[in-house]
Amino acid sequence: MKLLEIIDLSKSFGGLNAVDQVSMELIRGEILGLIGPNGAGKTTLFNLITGFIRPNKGRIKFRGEDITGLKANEVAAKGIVRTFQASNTLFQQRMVWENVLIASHLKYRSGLLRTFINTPSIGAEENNIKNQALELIDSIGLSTVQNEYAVNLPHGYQRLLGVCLALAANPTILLLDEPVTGLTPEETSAFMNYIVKLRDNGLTILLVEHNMKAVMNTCDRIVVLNYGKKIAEGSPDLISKNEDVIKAYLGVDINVA
Amino acid sequence: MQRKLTFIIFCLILLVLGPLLSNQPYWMHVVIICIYSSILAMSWLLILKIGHLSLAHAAFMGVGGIASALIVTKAGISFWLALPLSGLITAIIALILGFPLLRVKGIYFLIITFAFNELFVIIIRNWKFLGGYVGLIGVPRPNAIGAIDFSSKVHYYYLILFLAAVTVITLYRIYTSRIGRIFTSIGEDEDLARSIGIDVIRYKLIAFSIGCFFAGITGSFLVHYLNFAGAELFTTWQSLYIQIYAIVGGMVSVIGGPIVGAFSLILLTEFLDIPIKAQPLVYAAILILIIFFLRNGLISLPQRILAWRLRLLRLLERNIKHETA
Repeated sequence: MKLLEIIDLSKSFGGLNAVDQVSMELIRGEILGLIGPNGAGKTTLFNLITGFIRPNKGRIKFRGEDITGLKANEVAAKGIVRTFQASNTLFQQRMVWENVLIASHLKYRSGLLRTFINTPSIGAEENNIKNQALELIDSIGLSTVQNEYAVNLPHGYQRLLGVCLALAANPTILLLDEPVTGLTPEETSAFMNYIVKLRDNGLTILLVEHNMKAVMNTCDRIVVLNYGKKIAEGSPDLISKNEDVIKAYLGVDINVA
Repeated sequence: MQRKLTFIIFCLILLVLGPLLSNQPYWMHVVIICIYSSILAMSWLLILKIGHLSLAHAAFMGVGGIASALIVTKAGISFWLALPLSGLITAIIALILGFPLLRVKGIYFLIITFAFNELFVIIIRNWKFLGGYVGLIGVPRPNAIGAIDFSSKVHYYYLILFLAAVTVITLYRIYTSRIGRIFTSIGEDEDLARSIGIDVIRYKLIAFSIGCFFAGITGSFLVHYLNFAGAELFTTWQSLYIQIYAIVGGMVSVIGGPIVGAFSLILLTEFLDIPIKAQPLVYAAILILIIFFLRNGLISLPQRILAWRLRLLRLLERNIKHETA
């Protein structure tokens, strides 16, 4: 079943076509890898899907509903949540558990006025959501550092916390922007295992990553972008043999002459 | 913690019983200035917490002040209705202005609010209806409630103390609840806040209008207290002072900091009898010193002293050991 459908999406900055008529789809319960050389438009596509920027042309449909042009927070509320490339995109001066509690924003049901007056149900709701946050922290393996300030965490933990924040928003689709950059091989494989586990629990994942080994081992399907255009799509095996893809990555046509 | 609580309770008792100790009009006046400056600094800090450094807080105070003066003198409505009404008017104007303004970030927001404050002053000075160069003179005292007829400064003192209490309670509720968490998270990382579903513009507008609401109420109090509403009360200088109070007091403590800052700076200038013209100089010097040596403001001083003492003790201990060995 198509969960997310991208139809002829285009975005240009000045004269540069960052994303050029890209069409693709995301099927429920898969890990889709999005790869391409630097400047291929992966992050722009990410920003377009999550409403951080608006497309010039094209449509984005989520569960058949047109979500093109929605604001970032509205897209998140629909269930499409992203992480950020920079590992320090966290609430740095707060403890880990506070970070996750803030990220649980969408779980709160009570309005601002009731929160302000502090009606009895508020405390119960707060406790309930805090417990959920602590469970989430535990499940991702951050419980040993839950009282640390985010800024003081080692790089690997910061990466995990970034994902933890996205998960706290209860996503249907999780978009990961280069999540294993800077991790050791062991950390990378542990992280990838975790992502597979998330998928097995029903989450649909779109993964932008430069680490080819990680992508090839975990993704169910791969989409390749180059200069803003989609140049290939298919299973990891197929992609690794695709001539256009090899050409795009090596940059020259070795078969000439 | 215990010590902090005792200190707060001591200050509260002092504030409530203060006029019994001395109701000399001069000191009453000084403390009134301290208290309303605290309100301004606290409400300004709320706006800073969403990531917007406003240089127009005095102008918003002016909006409330002039609105209140006009409501009472021109429409003949009671001060007691005009007071909340002027806060509301200020909040609504902040909402309307905030809609485009709050989309602008960083230095641009600062410049725009600076320009807005200047513009506000120019408009007031050139629009007779709003006061003109002379200002609105003869703004009446608040209507009497029984024996409290606002003929004495003590009456005003308790009024502004009450308004400050309302401000503190409101802000305390905001900061200790989820609402404050949302506000500050926006100030810390706006994109991250959006990515987890926080409607950034909405909450910014809410915080901005709450901040300006309190500025408006303070303005209303001020013009009825001084019986005068003129542009010179609401200049960009005033906006700058509000900031300096918060920074000197310490912005890590969202309520205590601004209060400590406003009281210490204003009381200092009064005790040292610094002439008005030299005030900016003294404030600037203090500001620079604080930023260099006490980044978290005066409120962090006890902690720092404790740390220094600890370091000194350790040093002594080591020396003693050294000597005995």
